[in-house]
Amino acid sequence: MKFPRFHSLAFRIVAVASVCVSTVLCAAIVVIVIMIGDLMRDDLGTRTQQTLNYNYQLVRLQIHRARLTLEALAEDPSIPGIFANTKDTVLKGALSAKFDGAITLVEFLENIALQKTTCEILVADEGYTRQTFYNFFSSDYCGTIGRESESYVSSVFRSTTTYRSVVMIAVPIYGEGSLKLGQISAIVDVGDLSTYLTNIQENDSFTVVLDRYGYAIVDTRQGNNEQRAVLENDPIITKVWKLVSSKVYNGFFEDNIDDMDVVVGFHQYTGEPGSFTVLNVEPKSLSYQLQRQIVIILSSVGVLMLFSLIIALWFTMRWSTRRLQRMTETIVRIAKGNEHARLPKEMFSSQDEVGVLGQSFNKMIDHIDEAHTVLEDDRAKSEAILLGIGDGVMAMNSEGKVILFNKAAEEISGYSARFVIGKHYTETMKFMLGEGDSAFFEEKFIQQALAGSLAVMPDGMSLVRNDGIKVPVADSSAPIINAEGNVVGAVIVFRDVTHEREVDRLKSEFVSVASHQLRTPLTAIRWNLEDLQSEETGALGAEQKENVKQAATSTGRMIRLVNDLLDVSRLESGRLSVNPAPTDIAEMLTDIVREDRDIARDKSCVVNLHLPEVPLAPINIDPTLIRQVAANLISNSIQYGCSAKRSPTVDVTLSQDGKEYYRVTITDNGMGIAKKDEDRIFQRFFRADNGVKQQTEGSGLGLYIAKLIVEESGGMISFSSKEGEGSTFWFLLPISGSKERRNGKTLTAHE
Amino acid sequence: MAEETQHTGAIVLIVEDEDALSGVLRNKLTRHGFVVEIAQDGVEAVEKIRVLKPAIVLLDLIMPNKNGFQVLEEVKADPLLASIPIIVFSNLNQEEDRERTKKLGAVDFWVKSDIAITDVIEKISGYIVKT
Repeated sequence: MKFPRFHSLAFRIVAVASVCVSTVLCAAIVVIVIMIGDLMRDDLGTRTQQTLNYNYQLVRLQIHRARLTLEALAEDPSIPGIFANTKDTVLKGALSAKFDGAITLVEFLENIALQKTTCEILVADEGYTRQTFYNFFSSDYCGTIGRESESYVSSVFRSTTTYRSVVMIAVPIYGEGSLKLGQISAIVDVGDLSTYLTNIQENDSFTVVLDRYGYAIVDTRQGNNEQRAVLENDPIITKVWKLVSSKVYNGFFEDNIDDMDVVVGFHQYTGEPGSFTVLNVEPKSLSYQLQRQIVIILSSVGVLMLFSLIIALWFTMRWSTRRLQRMTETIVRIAKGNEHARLPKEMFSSQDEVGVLGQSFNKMIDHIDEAHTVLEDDRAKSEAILLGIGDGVMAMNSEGKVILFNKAAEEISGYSARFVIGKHYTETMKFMLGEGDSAFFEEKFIQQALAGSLAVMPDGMSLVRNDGIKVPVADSSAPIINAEGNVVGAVIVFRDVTHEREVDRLKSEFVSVASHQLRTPLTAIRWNLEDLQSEETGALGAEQKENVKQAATSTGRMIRLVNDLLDVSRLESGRLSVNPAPTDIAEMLTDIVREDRDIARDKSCVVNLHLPEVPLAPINIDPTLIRQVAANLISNSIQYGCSAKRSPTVDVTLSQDGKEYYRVTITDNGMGIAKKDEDRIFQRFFRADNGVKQQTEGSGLGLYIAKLIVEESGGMISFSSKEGEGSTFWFLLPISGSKERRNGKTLTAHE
Repeated sequence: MAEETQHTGAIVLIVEDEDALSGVLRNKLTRHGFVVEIAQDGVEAVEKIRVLKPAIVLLDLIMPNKNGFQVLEEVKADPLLASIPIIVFSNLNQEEDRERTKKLGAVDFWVKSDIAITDVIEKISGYIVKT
């Protein structure tokens, strides 16, 4: 069995939605990565900047400390003494020792000296180097700057002698009357800055600090105390200096050194001790290392997220589809007849849509199963009743395929239900009519039932058993009609009538033999009485004549009674032959009336025959049988109806009744029939009271036989009567004619 | 009676196993000048027809030894006897019996109980005149 697995609309929606969500998430992650990358680049700049700024502040702090130290030294009370007595070596020695102490205390202080305003040195520290001092102070400070009254801190500059980056500090010393005596000067070496910077350098990266003239005062690529060259030829430094000169005071750019991609960051600081520019160069790989790491981490997280999302989605879908698939399988199983199939509870315990669907599904199947069980019980009961019925029952669907075949049917036919059910009924159930060579298959009664009407099996039906033996059967067929009123099949009921047929045959034979046997002595009596009446054997006295006449009448009645009994037997057994032939009813009635002329005259009865002006066409009826009916009714009317005191009349009328029938009406003006007898008039052996009183003739079978014949001929018979006023008997004959029936018995001839 | 003299000597064979019937018939026919012979069964009937060559035969159908149908068949098969008129005289009264005997060559079919004895004489006289 095939069923759709992944093509449902819901699945498509979920799949499309998942792809959309995944795409959006991927895009979001890419955007985040890019944004973080940018942020990292800025952050990188900040990092460098902070490092540089820190060092710059450190330098400033140290310089400030150096200045404060000098200012403190300038307050020394012995200093004016030295200016007063420049030859006081004791005093000078003490001051020099103080200078040494300050140098030891303050890291960057290189040299300290006490000078005259002319820059002549009065006292200096132990390790004093004259050259630097002299150059700076004599040319710059003592030339122009020295006139300032405040402490002075120079910009960073490179010593022309040591080539180290230095800052000069000068603190003026005033004597009595604010007279400037000279100054305490110091030289601060900022080159040590590179020590700090080097400490934070990583492989292949370096930091350069440029002074306000573009000279490199620090270059971590070179040793701390090595000679520093002007790095004008360095393309990166040149580039940075160009940017700074064009007032771009900080920024980043990427460059290339010896086939290595690098990132350059730079910042120019202004303020004490003068402006200087820091630039930091590091390989791109290093520069973006963290960035890359973060990108890698974020990408991994993104991929992992996506992956887990897909897996989660897949599991969810698979779980859902698995459950839906399970549901489909269960439906198929139920459809195949396993009504106990259910969805496993643990699989559908969740409260999501599929879970709830599953629970509802199980509930629904439970309900259906319950209803089914009730129906099944009912059905089983009905089936048990049907199967247990003593008559054969065969039901078929509208196509004629057998759907039910009970035990009795099995016994009668010899076929097993298993063999018959599902096959077309004609394959096994062969119903036949007739005997010997003239036998033929007859299933009109089944077709009638399938067409929607009840039908009775024709008489003499037999069923061919599976061993070929014919079993006489009888009964009926009926349509199976559903609630909508449609014919959905037919049910055939049949029973083995072997015994009934045999009884019937015996009865018929008995009646036949008995009546034959009765007839012989009756004939003998009749003939002897007639012989006596002919007086050939001697004349009879008047009384004797009367005796013989009474005996002859009774004998005649007895013979008729025997004949009627025989007729009834044949009519009732349904074995009467009907041989329709074109018959002129008018002619037949004329004949009968003429024959009854004498009897009528005896009764002073007038018999009028009314025939239609336009003669009716002959119809196909059995002339013998219908003649018997008409004759019987007319004779009855004359016998019992012609009792009116005045002008007894019998009217016989032939007419057409609608399009389908001819009507024969016999009306008398006699005593009529009592109301209480009306219902019994066509019953056998019925004779109206008044009839009995009046006459001893008749067997009480005449009207019964008439009714049987008319009905057998496809017509109907009835009467109406008013006691004391007369009766009207009428019968209808089908214009379409009677159905032929052969191989039956004929009635006894009526003279 | 004029008719009596006319039929004097004409042999009527009554095939009837029932004495009560054959007796009254014989008496009546004899009185009317017929020579009456009686056969009690089918075998006797065929013999008597062969020997006597009667003017007419009244043949019952149900009899011992050989039934009326067989007698009829046998007689009509014999060219010397085929011309003898045979009237079936029975209490059987079925269309098929009538048709069957007619086919076998019977000239008429009378139901015993339904015919008056005077009619029997009349009808026999009629057939003998015809022949």
